[in-house]
Amino acid sequence: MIIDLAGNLFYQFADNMAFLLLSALGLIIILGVLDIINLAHGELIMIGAYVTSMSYYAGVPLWLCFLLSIATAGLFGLFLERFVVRRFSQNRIGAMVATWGISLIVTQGTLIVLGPWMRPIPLPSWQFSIGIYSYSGYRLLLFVIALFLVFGLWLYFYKIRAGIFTRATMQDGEMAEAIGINTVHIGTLAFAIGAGLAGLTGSLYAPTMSLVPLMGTTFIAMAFIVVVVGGGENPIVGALASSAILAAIATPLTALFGTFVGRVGILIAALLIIRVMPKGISGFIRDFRSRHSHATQRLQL
Amino acid sequence: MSFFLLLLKHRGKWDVSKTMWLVFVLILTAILIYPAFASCFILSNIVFFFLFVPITLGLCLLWGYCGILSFGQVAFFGIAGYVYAIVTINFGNASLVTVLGLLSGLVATGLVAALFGYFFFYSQVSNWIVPILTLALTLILELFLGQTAGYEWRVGRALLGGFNGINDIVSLKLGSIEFSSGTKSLYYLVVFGSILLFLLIRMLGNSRWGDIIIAIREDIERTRMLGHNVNLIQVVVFVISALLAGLSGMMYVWWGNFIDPSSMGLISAVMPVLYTVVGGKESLLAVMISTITLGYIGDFLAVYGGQYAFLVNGVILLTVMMFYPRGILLTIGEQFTRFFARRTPTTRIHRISAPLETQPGIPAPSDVSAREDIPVSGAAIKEVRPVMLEVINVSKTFGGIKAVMDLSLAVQEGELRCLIGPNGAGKSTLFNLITGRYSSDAGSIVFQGNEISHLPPYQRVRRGISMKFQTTRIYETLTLAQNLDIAYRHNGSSGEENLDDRYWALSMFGIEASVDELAGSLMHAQKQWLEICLALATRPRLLLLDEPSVGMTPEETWQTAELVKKLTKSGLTILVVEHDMEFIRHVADLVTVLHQGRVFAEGSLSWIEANEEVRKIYLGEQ
Repeated sequence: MIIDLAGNLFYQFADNMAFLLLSALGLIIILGVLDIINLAHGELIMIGAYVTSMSYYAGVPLWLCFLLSIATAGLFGLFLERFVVRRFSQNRIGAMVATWGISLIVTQGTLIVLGPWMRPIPLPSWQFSIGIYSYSGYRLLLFVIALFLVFGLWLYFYKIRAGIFTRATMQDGEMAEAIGINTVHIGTLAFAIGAGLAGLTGSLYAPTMSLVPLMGTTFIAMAFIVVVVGGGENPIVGALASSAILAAIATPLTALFGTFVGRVGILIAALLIIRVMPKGISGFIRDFRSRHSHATQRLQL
Repeated sequence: MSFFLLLLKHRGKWDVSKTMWLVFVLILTAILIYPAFASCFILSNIVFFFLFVPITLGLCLLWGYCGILSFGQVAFFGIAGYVYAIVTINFGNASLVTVLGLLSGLVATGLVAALFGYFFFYSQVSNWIVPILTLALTLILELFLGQTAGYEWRVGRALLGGFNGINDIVSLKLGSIEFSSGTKSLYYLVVFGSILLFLLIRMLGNSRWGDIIIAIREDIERTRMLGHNVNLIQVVVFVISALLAGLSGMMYVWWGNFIDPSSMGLISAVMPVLYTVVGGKESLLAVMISTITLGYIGDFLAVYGGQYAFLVNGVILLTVMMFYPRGILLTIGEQFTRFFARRTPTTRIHRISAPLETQPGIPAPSDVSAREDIPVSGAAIKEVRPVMLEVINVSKTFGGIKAVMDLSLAVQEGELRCLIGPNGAGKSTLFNLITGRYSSDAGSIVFQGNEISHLPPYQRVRRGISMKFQTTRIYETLTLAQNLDIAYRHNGSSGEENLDDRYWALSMFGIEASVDELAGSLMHAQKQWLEICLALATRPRLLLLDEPSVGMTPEETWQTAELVKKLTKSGLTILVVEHDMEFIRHVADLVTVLHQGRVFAEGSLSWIEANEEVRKIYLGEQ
């Protein structure tokens, strides 16, 4: 009985953490590399979900649908960075407002062109039960995929040349330029990766929810909070630690009092955490490690 | 009366003219007599366009003046609307109850804003966090209220009603006047109320507080080090903007007698931002005009274009941000000004009216010796000097690195002390510990007999510690006079009294002629001097100078050294971090050498220079 309950709690936790992590991963990478919050993030998720649904009903196998939606969202992100975001490199807040404009255009454009809803994809019925609780295998799969994505990003950032260049750019853009890294391309690539991840999130969650033009809203509120708590200094550590902590807070609250209290709990937890760690968890870790160096003592302006 | 006119004047020059005020009076008259010719329907529409004016003005104040963007102003709009609805439904629709509802709405909004503001601004978070957390707040509220359909979701007798929201809410009543939808009374209340709020915020923005709010936007650390409780001011501005949003929310309820969750949704949240962006966030007037105009256009589109309205909003938002980042109306206004300026030479309006030469008690330029009693608050040098600053066994560790270790240092009143040492010796960390920008891990700092190591920076400034930063930090977009005006004023001293003191410092440094010019137009050395003047304007007893001669020519360095010496003669205690040995040779009585976070040696310059050990640490032999 206790084991059943623990198993159930773990399942809820995994479900929550997967949702938080997948919602925020693309956003936090863009924040980390470009220092920009992409307010069209929710729409990239929506694009992912829509492409999945459209290609699924065109007879494309599901795994290929996922790849297609990553590619579409990634490509959209690429254009977004190239033609809009890049103009705001000196005005980060301006980039937020401009991407919000994009978000409105995409949402409303979708509504006008494709109508108020999209055909839902059936949820793979991988049900199983342990003790008195029954579980959805698909949601556990999402948790596993989320962790694999983090691992993949770690490989990219620490083992692959482009990823190491990206980290160099994040740490000191001018220095990176001086040793011959094209930081503009690094930024574009990071934006495309972040957008592609958002697309993947959309397609992964497409079978679990109704597909409407405003579906991105469901994700972004939580994604914002994960990003604030995680901080952009180290996207991987930030996203992982922040989604784990917030899921651990939200899971018991949601189980006892429902979704809304869970979400308010997350918001309040975020406020308390930034009081102690204004730059988020990853910023806190970085400051703790390397505040001795004058070069990194960036005082808040 | 002239005082009010001064306050009403705008910073920008395109709407201060008499013509503008004439137009303003004409508009007021038109508004006053308009209801005689208009139908209820049109009046009701006009009310709808005006009721978003307060929320947008609040955002303009917050974003344009204070530099803080919020995407969640509609959360406060909704909170106030819902609280008003709940109070009036529970306690009936008497006149007194509606007023109680109004007050409760404002109190609730203010409390939520104060809570969020405290966490945002006392944590000193990065500037992107405020917009996204406020947006998260409004989205979570919308989600919550959207699922409150059903009888179990009620507060007292008020059903929250899910997506349908709350209907049949009573409008505000004052005695026998009911401000219900379509009436002239609501029209007058909302339209004149909005205009009144506009004038009030404009007065705030043009007052000295407005200068300080802008100073926070321009350079938050510099403003903090001029003695202002920056965190609190930011919270107050945030709360004011939330209250304005709340007023809009309640006007919305009086106008439509309902409130629903979509008023807090993503699509509503964009509206105040859109209005502000289109108008130009630095001008309250432009923002007010854009609110009304775009409200009208949006209404037109909603009637004829239906679903295209939001698409158009998105396109407008994106286009304006990309091509007119300062705002369409503001850009047009500036073009107009330039056009008229070419034809009629306008007289410049300065905040400080009298030219410098006519101010009493100010020495003529370049006649520095004319006034030896420098108005910094420190007594003339006494024979027995008490200790002014005592740093006792202070340590500061960053991660594993000990930046300052068990450091002790005593500075006497009227002393001019130079701190030297190789890079990483802990000089800057020590300065930051003394000013409170860092908190020490151990030890204590005693200033004039009082322990200050627990005080926040602004309180240390008020007690008489002032600092010039290493990299020049002045308000380049403000005039020299405005720069000096921003410094904290001690209780009881009015602005007028202080002006002499402040300008006196300018004339000492030979930059008084530029008093009404923008600080950004000064040369490098002059900017450094202006920053020293800024530091002096807080009337310090102890002045910390972090590399005052960096980047100066030898001649300017010499001049700076002379001036620093002169300041000391007047009784000011000065602590200087400097690398330039010429400068040190020129000024120092006493030199302290820091090395690896400790005091390595202390003594007269000649003794230090002869010291073998000191040479070794500079040459890196150790």
